Amino acid sequence: MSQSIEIKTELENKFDWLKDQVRITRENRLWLDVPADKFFIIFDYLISLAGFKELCTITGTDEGDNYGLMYHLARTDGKVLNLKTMVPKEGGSMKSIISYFPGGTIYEREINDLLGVKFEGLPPGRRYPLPDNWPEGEHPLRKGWEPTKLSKVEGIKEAGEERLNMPIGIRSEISQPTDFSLIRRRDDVQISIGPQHPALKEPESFNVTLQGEKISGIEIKLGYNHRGIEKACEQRSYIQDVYLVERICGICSHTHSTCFVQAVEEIAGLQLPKRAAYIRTLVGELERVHSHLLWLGVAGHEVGFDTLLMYTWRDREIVMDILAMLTGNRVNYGINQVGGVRRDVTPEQAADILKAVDKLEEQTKYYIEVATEEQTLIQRLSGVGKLSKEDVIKLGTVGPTGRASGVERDIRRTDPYAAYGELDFKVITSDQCDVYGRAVVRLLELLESYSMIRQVLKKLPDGPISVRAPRRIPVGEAISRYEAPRGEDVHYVKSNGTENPERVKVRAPTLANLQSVTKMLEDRYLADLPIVIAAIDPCFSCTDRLIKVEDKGLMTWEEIRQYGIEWYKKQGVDFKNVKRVI
Amino acid sequence: MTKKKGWIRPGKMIEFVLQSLLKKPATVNYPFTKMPMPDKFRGKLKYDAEKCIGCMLCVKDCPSGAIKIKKVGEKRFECDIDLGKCVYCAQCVDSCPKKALLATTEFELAQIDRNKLKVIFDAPPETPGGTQQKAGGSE
Amino acid sequence: MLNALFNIIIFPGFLFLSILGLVAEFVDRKLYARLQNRVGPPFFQPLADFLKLLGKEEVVPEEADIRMFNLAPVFALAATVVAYLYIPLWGTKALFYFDADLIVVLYLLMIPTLTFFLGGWYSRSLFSTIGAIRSITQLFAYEIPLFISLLAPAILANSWSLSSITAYYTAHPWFWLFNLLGFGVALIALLGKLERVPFDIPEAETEIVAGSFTEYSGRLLAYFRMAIDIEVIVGASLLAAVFLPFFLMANPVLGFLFYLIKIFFIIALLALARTVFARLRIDQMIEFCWKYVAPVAFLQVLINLILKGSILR
Repeated sequence: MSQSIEIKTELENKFDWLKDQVRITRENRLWLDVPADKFFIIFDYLISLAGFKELCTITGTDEGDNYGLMYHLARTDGKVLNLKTMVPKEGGSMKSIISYFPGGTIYEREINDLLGVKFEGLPPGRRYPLPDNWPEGEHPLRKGWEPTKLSKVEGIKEAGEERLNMPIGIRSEISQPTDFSLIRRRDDVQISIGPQHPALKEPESFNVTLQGEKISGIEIKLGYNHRGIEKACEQRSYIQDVYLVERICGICSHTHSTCFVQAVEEIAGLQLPKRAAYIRTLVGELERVHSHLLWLGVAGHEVGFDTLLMYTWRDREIVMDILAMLTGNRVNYGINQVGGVRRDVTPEQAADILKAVDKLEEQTKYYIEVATEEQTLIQRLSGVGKLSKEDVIKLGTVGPTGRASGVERDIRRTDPYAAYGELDFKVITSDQCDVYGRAVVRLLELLESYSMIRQVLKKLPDGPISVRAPRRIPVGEAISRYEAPRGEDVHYVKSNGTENPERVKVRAPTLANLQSVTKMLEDRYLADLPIVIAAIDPCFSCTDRLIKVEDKGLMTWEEIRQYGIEWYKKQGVDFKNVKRVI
Repeated sequence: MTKKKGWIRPGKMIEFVLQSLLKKPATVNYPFTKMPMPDKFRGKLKYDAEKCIGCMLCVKDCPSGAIKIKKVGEKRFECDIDLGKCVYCAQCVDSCPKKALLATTEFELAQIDRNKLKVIFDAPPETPGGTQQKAGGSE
Repeated sequence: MLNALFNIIIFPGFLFLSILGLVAEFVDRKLYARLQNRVGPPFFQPLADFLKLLGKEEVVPEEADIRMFNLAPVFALAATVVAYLYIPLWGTKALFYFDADLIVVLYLLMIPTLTFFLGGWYSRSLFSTIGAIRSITQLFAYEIPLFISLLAPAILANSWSLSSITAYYTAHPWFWLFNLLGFGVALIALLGKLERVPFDIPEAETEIVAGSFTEYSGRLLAYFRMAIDIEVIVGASLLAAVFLPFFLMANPVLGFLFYLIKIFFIIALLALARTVFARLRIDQMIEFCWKYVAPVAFLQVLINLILKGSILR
């Protein structure tokens, strides 16, 4: 607490008009509102002199006549300073922070798309996260915007018109500039990996420009999995939101659920019982084990080593069975509730978990041997996807992707939550800076997780597993961070005293890591693309969050076929020239 | 942890892989062999109409609006569950003050016809008796 | 005339080779599954796949060249079946033999690779083009070691005809042990020709969907897959005839049994290779083949030349 007070006094001494404006809600959390004209003075000071060099995310809120923009800045010792400013709705705009944080453009694009705030200085680029054919002027996150409005808007352009009739092979136009291109050459071939491709587990689109086998340009398009979860959270109560937030992603479901619940508990001022914190940690570490084993299998599959896939996923079944026994489901565990957890750990279950962890540890040690000694695997993984330490800091990469370049950034150590403050563990880093390093980091993290699970089960304190939580959460706001298996997950919750939250903002780790994919693929081969994308452990369900569900009723097979033919006819495809060979 | 230098023999997994020939396979021939789920598994819901008091807390707390309680008489309530909308979170089980809802371990609930996914649990009859379940074909 | 028809259609023509190819595919997939601790497909799975593909609709891309698109699988099938006619299965004489038929068989075996290239190129789709180019690039890497290693035993046997080679080695038992180095090289090169892991770069599923076969569906894909299955049998039989020429009895039943044991042994080795290796990148593969595999093949030729010149006068 003393360090936070130090920062507050420093700020107030430097800028006397800030007297009594800095609020401290708890250890490591500072809140500050500044008017728009004085914003960059404080921003400059914080970044250059006060050491707040990480940008977690930018939250946009709709507040009547203004837009609120909250910049969440973090420091390596875990302090988060939330800097808020207001931009008027009529004719207001904000200067982009791209010169300070090159990796922050994606947050600004998100606010631009979902709320309609203009950022000056933002280079032209693809929309995120809404699709290309979304009509202009419709901004879903504004208060009072309803999905039913959309069907009444005329003139929706069908997507993909311009791409359908382009000649295959050589494309001489380019829609948007990529990060590191390049003069267009006549022998450039542009292929699109995605949105559906065997290499990708989730839909995202990478337009790759090739010269032979070398990649010369890449353009990323996201937003295929956007489901409008942030807006949906505002229309449901906190109890319902726990389950909604849990389903942002299947692999990191406990992450999102715990992060959200921690923020709500902080606003409500609830004191979490110790046993609940330990149980949350236990499930969190089991989830980390399951996620890293899954990653190992997927990495093996991307380089054609299916045997590794089969064996690691067989071991992952042990973890899933343990989780089903503990929580009641194999994914989407549903163990959190506001105020604690819903189920307890019995001694028999604890004994089963310890046996399973022993078996898994033996298998993991064997996989470490395979990763260091199997020549074909090493050849495919090393030297690929290099990301230097400076790039990591500049682009804001988090998680094992960043730790493999030597940057020691782990929220469990810097900003402890749940029971991590009382556990003994190492933060694993590596200096390899490539995909091999990331594999090494994840494998060693598995061993650390096993040791943490054993510690939790040994030190599990007695007591209740939850406290009674009110249905109406008092007015306040909180930001909570969690170390997901993929990196740092940030949730910002603002409440207004009713049963529904006012604003929920989720920043998933993959969003921060995506900026580095373009950097990693500079001057590499096409064959490296799947493994490099897999190496950041992408979870695009976490990243995007809007679909419009139209109830067209049920269609039979023939009707669906007719619907497809009609749709293509509207695009201008002439079915007379299609040759059918039977 | 660094890689060993030099051309180590490729095919490191060969002994491990050959040992698997002697072990029982890890996969089973589903649907001829079925794997049992642990007993606290959250599957399809079961409704005990005798205990329901019609407080509607389950309806209020359901994240997806899958459960509906309808009053069909004096202290007699009928429960409609849409298995397609249910996310099997069992929040309704926790919210119910009278423990009228239970989660069973049944999870093989796939249907081809969407209408068959709506399950209705009848209210108890006028005279004391057992509850009946008018299944929508989910068995 | 009737005899010729019997040879082409029944034995050792399409029917016999198809059945043997499907059985080999089953053995390969079941062994692959068991090595990975899984149950694996039932015995009728390859036949079921083939029949299912025959019944599916064929979709030809609009820009593809129809004639080449349709002819490529047919050529692949035809070439592999014809190559099989020159390989001795039991006894020391194949069905047809003439001087230098080993070279003809090797050239016939190159035709399927060319049809993969042509089929992929004329599909005019991006992924197929990349797969086709990778196919031809890979050809430059493994073809030379394959040729050289297959010519080494022929040098020792003083003849370019497969039937004479097998006759020579039957007459001088235990001489085939000199060629074991070449056997190893030929196995690696065969992995490349059959486009299997670690050399399945032209058909890398996670990078370019299905390579040359991306646009193929229905009957044509069934023919391509059958051509690949038969190529496995032909390749394994060629290696068995050249490198494992023992127990070649004139008695059909016993000879056929030993033949089956030999080719299933080679197929098992191929399945094991598929299990324990990851896929290499194309530049790594070319480097590997030219730096390590080709010199070993030349070494084998050198050994055979020395042996022929000095000891076995």
